[in-house]
Amino acid sequence: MYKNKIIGDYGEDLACNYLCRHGYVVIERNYRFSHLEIDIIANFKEKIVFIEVKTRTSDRYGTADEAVNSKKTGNLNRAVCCYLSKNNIFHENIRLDLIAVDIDKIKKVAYIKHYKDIV
Amino acid sequence: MSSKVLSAAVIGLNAEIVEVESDTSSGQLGSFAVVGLPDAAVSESRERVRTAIKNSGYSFPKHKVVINLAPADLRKYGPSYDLPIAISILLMQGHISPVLDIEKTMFVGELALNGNLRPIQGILPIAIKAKESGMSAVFVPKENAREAKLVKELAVYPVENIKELVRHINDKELISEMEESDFDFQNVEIMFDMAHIRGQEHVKRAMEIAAAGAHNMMMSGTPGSGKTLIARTMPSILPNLDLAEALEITKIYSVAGELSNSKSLITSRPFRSPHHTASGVALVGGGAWPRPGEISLAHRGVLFLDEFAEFPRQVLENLRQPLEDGIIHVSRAAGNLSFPAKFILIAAMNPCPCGYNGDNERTCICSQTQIVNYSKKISGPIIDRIDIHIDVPRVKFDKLSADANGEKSAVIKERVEEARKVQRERFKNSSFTANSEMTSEAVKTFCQVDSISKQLLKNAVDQMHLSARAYFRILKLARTIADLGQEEAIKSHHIAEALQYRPKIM
Repeated sequence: MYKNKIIGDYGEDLACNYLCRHGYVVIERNYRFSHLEIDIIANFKEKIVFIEVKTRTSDRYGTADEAVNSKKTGNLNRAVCCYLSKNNIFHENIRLDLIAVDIDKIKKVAYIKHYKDIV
Repeated sequence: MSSKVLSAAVIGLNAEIVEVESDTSSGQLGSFAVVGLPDAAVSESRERVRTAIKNSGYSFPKHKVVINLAPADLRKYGPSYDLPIAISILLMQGHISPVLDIEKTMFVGELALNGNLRPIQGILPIAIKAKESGMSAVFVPKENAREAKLVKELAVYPVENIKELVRHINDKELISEMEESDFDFQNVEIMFDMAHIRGQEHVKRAMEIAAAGAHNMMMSGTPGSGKTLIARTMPSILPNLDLAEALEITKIYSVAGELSNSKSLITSRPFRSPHHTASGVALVGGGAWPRPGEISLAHRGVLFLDEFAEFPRQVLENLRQPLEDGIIHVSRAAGNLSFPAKFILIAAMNPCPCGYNGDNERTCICSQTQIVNYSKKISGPIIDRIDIHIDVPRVKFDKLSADANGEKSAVIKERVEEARKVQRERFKNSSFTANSEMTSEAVKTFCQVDSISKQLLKNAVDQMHLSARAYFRILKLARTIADLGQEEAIKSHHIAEALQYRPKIM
């Protein structure tokens, strides 16, 4: 479990770098609301973007983007709602994204795929 | 992004064009919905299509995919939409850039998880519909291609897997068109020959008449007298099918899913003999999705009901209307459908529970009440609809051991064919093909009798208390007997012979 946490955190770091390079401003990371978690919350062109990051080092158990199913998006939805109500933000101008990070350990490269507006 | 391809739905014995539209939009990652009243098999096609596309080496859209099967008010069932759904998704994804006219092309087929195609039911109605609506080509599973090609003017492409089909549509590597195959209607396989039956000449004569005019027949006799064997020789004396009839039968078998790859066209008349435990629905057709029953599967052939009295009475009563009309209307929640059911009914039964009533050698041990109750199992209306009633007595040992063979089926068949030819000539301007199908109006025109015969008929109707239907049936039967004798007019001896096939009054 400890190892997976390190991989996940590393993937989130990579995703943050990627977002910064593309003009996103990261507001918050690992926002927790009981068991629900939002990996990255960023500002982009006056929009609040909630980002789920999935990291995989092999595709033995499927690629990163295949790991998101309706249950996961449901949880994300709820977490977003919690965040919005807590911070009194109006429902418009928000977006939920997925960033899939596939790390190739041999070539020492990571492939980042950004899926916008997944819900 | 959206795309559209054409497919077809089978309803009863006909098909309806179904448009398969697919669309993808942002949001709802990984969701895949099928709308347009799909049943479980169609909904499950999502998983088959997704896996088949992936295993064929193409990418499946990550975002939400919606499939619409139009018209939306028509219920869709069965797995035949797998292929059109897959093709419309590939088209939407841009994996296919069609060279051919996709608006004039039809796709049907079930997908395996590895991208191969599996055969489906009801290809023939779909192919006929495709031709009617002016399609230039249909793509069907390889196993179904021969059946689809029965529609001669249609270009049929046998498809083995998705990859092959995509290469064909992209004009990379073409699939060769299915070629027409020849069918032999002449060499019908004969299982039982009339020549193998010793004695029972009068029963053979009755069989010949039944075959010549497509009349219903009931045999009653002691156990072991040969009723079943005689009935099984019936297909050997029935006239050969022509292509139109063969297509009619094949359509029914196609919808019922009883066609195999090696037998894509039914070339011999069907002989169906359901067991007496069969339910009413099994006999006449039905189910949540109405499917043809035994009587429709026996269309243009023989329905043999052995141990007729053992069938539940309610099951037999179902036969009343189809026996008269030659068609069965099945009404269910899914819709009202009609299946053709012009068959020759051959029934066989014992005269009483012990089976020996009327036998010369063994005494019957049944009480009078038992015999009456047994004969009551068959209702009057059913008996009234059966033209030929005949007793099949025990065969004497001398005859049984004799070496002399009877007439060969082929000889009898020739006479039957001749009689049918006369009938075809007579009915060339009407919809019926055999004497038994004549309407009362047609009976008036074609069954004129002389004054002696009229008197004979009058006496018979009075003495035997015959119903109006029985009267017309006797005339039709007499017509067939005259046809068999190649005689233009119905004579009194034809009427007399027809009369003695009426049931005996008990």
